[in-house]
Amino acid sequence: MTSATPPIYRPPQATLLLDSQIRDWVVLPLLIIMIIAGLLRSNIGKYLRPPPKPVSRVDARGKSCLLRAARLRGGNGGYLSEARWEARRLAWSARSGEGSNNTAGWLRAEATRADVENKLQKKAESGDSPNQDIPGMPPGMGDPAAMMDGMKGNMAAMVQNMVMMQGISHFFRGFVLVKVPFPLTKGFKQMFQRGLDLTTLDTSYVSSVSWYFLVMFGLRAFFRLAMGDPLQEELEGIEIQKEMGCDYGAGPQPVGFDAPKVLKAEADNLELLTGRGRRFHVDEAERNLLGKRYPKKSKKRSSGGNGEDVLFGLPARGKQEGSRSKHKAS
Amino acid sequence: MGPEEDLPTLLSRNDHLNILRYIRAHKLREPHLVVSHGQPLLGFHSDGSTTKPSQSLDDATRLAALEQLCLASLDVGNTTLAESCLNALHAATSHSSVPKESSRYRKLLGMCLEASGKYDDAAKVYDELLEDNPSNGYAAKRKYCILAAQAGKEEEAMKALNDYLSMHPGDVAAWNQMAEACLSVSDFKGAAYCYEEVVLGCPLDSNVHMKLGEVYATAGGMENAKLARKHLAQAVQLDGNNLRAWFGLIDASEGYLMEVEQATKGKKEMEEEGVEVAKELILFGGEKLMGFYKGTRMGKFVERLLKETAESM
Repeated sequence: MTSATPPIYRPPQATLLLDSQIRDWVVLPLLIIMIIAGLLRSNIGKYLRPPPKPVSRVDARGKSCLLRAARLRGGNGGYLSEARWEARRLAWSARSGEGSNNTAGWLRAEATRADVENKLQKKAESGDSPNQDIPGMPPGMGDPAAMMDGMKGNMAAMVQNMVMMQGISHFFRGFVLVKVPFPLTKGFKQMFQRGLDLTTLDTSYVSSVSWYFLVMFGLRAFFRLAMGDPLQEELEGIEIQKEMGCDYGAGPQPVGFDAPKVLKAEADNLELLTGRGRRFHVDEAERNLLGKRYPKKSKKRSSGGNGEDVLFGLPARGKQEGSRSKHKAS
Repeated sequence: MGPEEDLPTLLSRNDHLNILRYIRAHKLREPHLVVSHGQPLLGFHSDGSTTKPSQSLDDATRLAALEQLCLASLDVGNTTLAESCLNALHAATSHSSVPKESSRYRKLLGMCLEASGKYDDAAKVYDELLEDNPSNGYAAKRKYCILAAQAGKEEEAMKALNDYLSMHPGDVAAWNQMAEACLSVSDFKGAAYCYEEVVLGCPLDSNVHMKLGEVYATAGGMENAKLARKHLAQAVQLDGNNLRAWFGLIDASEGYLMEVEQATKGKKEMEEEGVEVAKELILFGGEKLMGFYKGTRMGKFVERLLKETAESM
């Protein structure tokens, strides 16, 4: 590392000697402190996690409706015949006045219903305790207790991170702890040398605060290994709670689901879908089953039932494929 | 989730705990296995006495196994075992006894009451659960089951199921139940609607396609006959060994041909291609079926049946 006689010309990026004391008193202790703190955090987080909260009736119903609609919209819809798929799509997404008997489609009716129920609930709540929902605030923001619940779980992590970062930048400000054994471009300076404002220092040297960040993100996989997967029974418990209409408040926002809005959006999505460009496996099933034995199409075009649009002369998908395969055969 | 070994390995090793875990993780319904392995695991004996469990389990594991054993014993009709499980759940032997107001415990309690025929008490338990949390889907489902279990309450049961479905329209199993309820009162159109919903939920299940096809075929009409053929063809494609679907395919094609025969002349011309396909399907299905039955004692009869069908074409 150091030569006995220093050369006259020293390249600008000379190797620095990192004191072994730094390794013994800073790098390794930091690593150990962080591992201990991480384990502590995950254990405290367990106790701070809010108990499962019952899902409101409106939300549960809205989510279930959404699930049903998503099945039709997604790939599963291809396993109905086109005519039946189209019938369902129309029946669910029709606007009031254009449905089969001038009523709104199922999803739109559900949306209005959810809206009414939400309003009723709000009215009942405001009757009990006025000023609970502050006007002008998004729903759920008015109740500080509800917000706190979601944050409690993250609280431990946040407080700990803040304290640790303050401590490290206080005690080890300006320390260069490690050198990574490969050269890096200047772009990594922000990442590797936070808290060091030296433009000439080679980027492969890592400052103390950056070392903290690197270890923090790098340790996640280690914690997963060290703590193991959660117990099967715990995961099942969460599933059972879900089935019984309770939900663990995941994420910082306790009320993120706005049933009327989401249902309306889903109805609009369905309204915009078309059967064209969509594969209806059931409509092709007979052709696929018979393969080569499928009878060659006669001159006269048969119509109806295959999702063919008689009025505008749009051919059905199955037909197109049939003619294509016929070309191949001939 | 679940143990990494497969069930036969676990069975040969007699690893009680992991057998129960495997059955839970894979959502199998093996009540006899659960009872025979859960009893020694939890220290229950068939004569009703209890001893210390064979291995020490932590609370979460023990309680989950108790719940599973309780349900399995209800499944095999052993209500005394179920009751002792229930008692063990809130017995104060361990420091984590289950409180009586736990909704998971009350659900089990309700099911035990149901199993011993005390429907009114069970309904009361579920009503209380629903009062605590109106979106408790499980309690709502059990309330339907109470009605369905009693003879003479079919109409009420169907109404309850209808209410449940309007609250939880995404529940595929409930749609399946509704389809069966519709079939039991010969409402084939309603059943077709419900089975369509089930197809949307599990589109790769050969049996669901088969049932939907059968319902279409029974409902009758030209369009329905075509739909029946399509869905039965799909069922056969999804599972080539589904004999019922092969028979159904032949039958539905035959039904379609009969529909065409009764149709007006203009319509008949439109269906020319369909007729060809139906005839081919009958031949194809017949050949396949003959292959399945070749060399068995049933072979002769199947051959005769198929020949009759072919001749009537």
